[in-house]
This record gives sequence, structure tokens and C-alpha cells, in this order.
Amino acid sequence: MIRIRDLQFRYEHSDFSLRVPQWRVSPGARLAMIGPSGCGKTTLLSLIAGILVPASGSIVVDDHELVSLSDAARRNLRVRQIGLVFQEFELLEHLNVLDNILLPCRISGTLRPDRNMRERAELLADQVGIRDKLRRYVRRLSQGERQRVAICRALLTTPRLLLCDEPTGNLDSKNKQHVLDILDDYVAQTQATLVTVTHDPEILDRFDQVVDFSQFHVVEDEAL
Amino acid sequence: MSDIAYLAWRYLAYHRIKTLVLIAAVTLIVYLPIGLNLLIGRSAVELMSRAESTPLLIGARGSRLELVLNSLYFESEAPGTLRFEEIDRVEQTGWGYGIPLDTRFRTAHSPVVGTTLDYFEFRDLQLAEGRLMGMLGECVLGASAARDAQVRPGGHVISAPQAFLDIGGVYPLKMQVVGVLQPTGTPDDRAVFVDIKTSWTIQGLAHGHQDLSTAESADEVLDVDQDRIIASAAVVQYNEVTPENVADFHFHGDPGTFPITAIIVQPHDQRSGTLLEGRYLDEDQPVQIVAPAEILADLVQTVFAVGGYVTLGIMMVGAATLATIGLVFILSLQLRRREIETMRKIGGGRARIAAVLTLEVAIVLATGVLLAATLAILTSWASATFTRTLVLLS
Repeated sequence: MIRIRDLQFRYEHSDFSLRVPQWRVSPGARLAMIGPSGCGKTTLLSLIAGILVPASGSIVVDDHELVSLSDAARRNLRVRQIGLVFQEFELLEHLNVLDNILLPCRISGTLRPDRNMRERAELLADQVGIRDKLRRYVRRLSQGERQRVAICRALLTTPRLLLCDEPTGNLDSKNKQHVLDILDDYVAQTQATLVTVTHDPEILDRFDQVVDFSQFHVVEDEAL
Repeated sequence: MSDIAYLAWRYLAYHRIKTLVLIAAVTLIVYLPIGLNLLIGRSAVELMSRAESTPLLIGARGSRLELVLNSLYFESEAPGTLRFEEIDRVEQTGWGYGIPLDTRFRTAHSPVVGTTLDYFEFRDLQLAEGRLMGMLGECVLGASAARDAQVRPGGHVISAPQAFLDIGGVYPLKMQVVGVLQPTGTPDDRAVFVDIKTSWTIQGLAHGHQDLSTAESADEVLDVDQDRIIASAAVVQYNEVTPENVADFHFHGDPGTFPITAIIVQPHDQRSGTLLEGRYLDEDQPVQIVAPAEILADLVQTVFAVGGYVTLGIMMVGAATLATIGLVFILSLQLRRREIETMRKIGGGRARIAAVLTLEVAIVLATGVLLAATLAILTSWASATFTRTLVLLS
């Protein structure tokens, strides 16, 4: 599902840089990445999602070599095959729950928020228990509900790869388990691949694999 | 609705107060200079229209503008006067004829305009009801004067006392309303028209009182000196002209020397007008002749010049406001960086995101311009009525 080789990345105007000689995630894997803050876990997720582009090396996601794809093609791949969940939910406050879930369709330009998509959004909302809140603005939701909205948005296009950046970081214990249950159910139903960055040792037993990110070569103050 | 338009619309609708403030600002910036110029232009047309229909005016020497405003719009509080016999001087030239105006008096609501029946023909004033004045003490009201005083033919209006504390002064005259004019949208609408003799009666130059030569009046007679009877203050003065007492009203003195405030002169032709103007060139004369159109053209030019400066000022404020609106959008982009980043992460292209943001600005600007255009059309449509009400009738 994910193959990385000789990956090198560096932010502009920053001394931080990341080097991953080789890494592979099998299809259908449920993997948790752990490691100290600032070690590059989120950066790696962004590289896998095609949001960032490496300076060199290769990232293959589902047989697509991201480095060789155009911006538009990477976006298209991201919209259709990769679901993203963030710690801070990243919902748009001026949209209601339904519009937030449908946002990937509206903003990508490659999908239409047609009847099928709406029914899919309503089904997902129903599955995570927020069906009755579809018309509410997100500022009127609890933290747990917001994360469920964000998960619905990530699952809208039935992605084959789910990238979650500390999805339970802002949730209490009850909501944490609920969110993980939703992700587990999805992965079980679709055989999707789940890569989750977390700092929370309590949830590690929910994953098949735990990868300590410090195995990768994170370089500070060193030119690539 | 396209997805881009939908997202832009949702943002503006959610932040509706901010959006409305921005739209209002844009509307005002665009509308104010346009609306102001429309109003000034329309006011100029209205002002010039009445002036152009009044060929020449003769009045007391002094401010020419004051003479025009007083004679055309009945605006002056204390207009200068000239002798009534000046009309004879005009007509003896054979170059035109004159219509007297005496605008020194008022009722509670309206100016009293002493004139002759020629004025109604000259201004093409039509009766809505009743008849024109035919007897001393009768009056004809303009449409809005009748409305303001809430009177119809058969009712009365009373001239306003000139000095409340002068117990020896002229009593207010109760005048019978005999006609009401159709509305014209000119200052004639708010005037109370009386015969010039009634105007002099208001002043006290003509008056009526009990017959002092009868035996019943003996108590009021102090002394009789040949033809001259000296009466006490107890003599009954009439404050209303009626068919019964009209014969007791009389003038003291030569009416030719009685005051009027202006003469509307209608020369027979352009040459006659020019010759008449030449007659009054001597600045030592107590009277002057003016062409209202020329005087008001100067005024309108001044108004346009001032309007130009005001428009310039508004446009400068508008430019500053637009710059501020631009700054607000730029600052808003800073505040929305995370939102923009989120849209990018979940699949939004830079161009598409930029299109959403640009459309938000475009909707605000377009709505503001559309509202301003609507206001401008409404202003244009209502400006005639508005300027008549605000400029001519106020």
C-alpha cells in the first residue's frame, strides 16, 4: 500500500529535515506511529498524503508514485483514495455538519456533492451518531462530535488509506474509544489501511503494528 | 449553484453582520457621488425651469439673488420694496407689461403673495376648486397651502401679525378662501394669493372702520376739523372684509406710491427686453432689473462647483474606505489561513480556493454596486419630487 524509499524532505526556512531510507506498509495494515514531538510524524503523513513533496526519493501509494504526479493528480488521488483525520478536527465553522462532510466534494472540483454523496454523508453521520445534527453549525457540537464529523468527512469517498494525526488527542476517554471503534469498524469493513500518529500509549493495543518513529533518520541542523 | 459560489455564499451568510457592513460601505461609496450629482443636476433643472419662465424682474436695488429668490420662491423674510407706480413706467415704454408682487406678509403656514389676476395666467395656474379672488379680502390658496391650513373654499386664513408686542400695530386680517389651485410642484403650491390691494390692507394702508359721520359714532369722535375727523381708540376697526363692510374700506394716500416687492416684466420680444434692461442700468436708481435665468445660472454654477468639490471629497473618502475594505479582506485571509490550509489538505487546488475567496469579495462588491445602482435609479426617478420638496418648497 505504501512504499517509501530514500525519502528526503526539508522545510523551507527551517533547519528541520527528514530522511526515511526505506519503509513499507502492507495493504489493510492497522499501524500506529509513535515518537517524540517534532520528530516528523505529521510531516511524514503529509508526504504520504501528497500534501508535501519530498526533495528526493520515492513515495508510492497504492501503486501511484506521488513524486511523479502533478499537483492536480496528487489532489485527485488524495480526494478519492486517502482520508485525513486531524487532531484539531479542521472543520470550517461557517459550514454546517453536512456541508463539512461534503467539503472534499465541493472544494476538489473532481467530485460532485450529488445525491449519492449526500446519502453517503447521511449514512456515515448515522453510523457515528450525529445524524440529527447534520444542519447544525460545528461550533455547537462537542469535541467528540466534531471529531466524528471530521471522520465522516475523511470516509466520504470510501478511501483505501486512512491517515490520522492524533485523532484522539483532544478527546476524553469515552469519546476516544468511540472514535477508535468507528475507525476499526471502517477498516474491518473495507480492508482499508490505517496509519495513525499518536502519543497516547493507552490506545496502542488497538493497532496491529506500532512503529517507533525514531527509527527513521531525523536530522536537525544538517543540510541534506 | 456551483460549489465555489455555494462555499462563498455560506461564508458571507455565516458572517452576515460583517458582510452587511461591507456591502453598506460599498453601496455608500458608489452611490453618494452619483446620487449627489443626480440631485444637484435635478435641482438645477428645477431652479432654472422657474427662472427661465420669468423673463425679467424689477425690484429694489440690493442683492440680485435675494430679489430673484424672493420673487420666484417667496423666500425672503424682509424683501426690499419699490413703488407700485413703477409698473406704469414699464408699461409706458410700450416694451412689455408688468405683474406686481408683494411678498412681505405670511399666514401661520404660508407666504402671502399680493398680485393681480394676470399672475395666474402668467404661471398657468389652474383652479382645483372655487374661483379666483374678486373682492378685497379674498384669497386663493396653492395646493399645499390649502392642505397645510386644512381649508377649502368658504374657509378662512389669517395673516400673521408682524410684531406681537406692538399694540398699535396692524391687526391680522381674516381672509376668505375662495379658491384652491391645482398642484404644480412649484413654490406657488404653498402660497396664499391675494389681490395686491388686500396685501396693502394687511399692511394697514387700507382699512375699514365704523362710519364716524353717523350719530351712533358720536362717542368715538374726539374732534371735527372741517373735513377731518379725529376719533378715539374706541373706534371699531374691522379685521375682516365682508360684503357688508367692504364699502367702509378705503385707502389713505396715492396707491401709486404704495409698496410692492417686485414686478414680473414680460417684454413683448427680446429687443424690448434688452431695451428695458438698458433703462435700469443707472446704479443711482433705487430700482434694478434682473434676468432671473442669468442670476440662477450663476448660482447653479456655484452649486455645481461646490458639488464637484463635495464629490471629490466623497470619492477620496470612498477610496480610503475601499482601501480599508481591501485591508479587512487581507487581514481576514491571515485569520483564515488555517481554514485555507484545511481546504488545501482535503483536496482543494490553489486556484479553486482562490476562486472561493475572490468570489466572496466579488459578491460583496457586486451587491454593493447593485444596491447603489438601484438607489441611483430610485433617486433619478424620485429626484424631481424630492428636489421640489427639498429645494423649492422647503
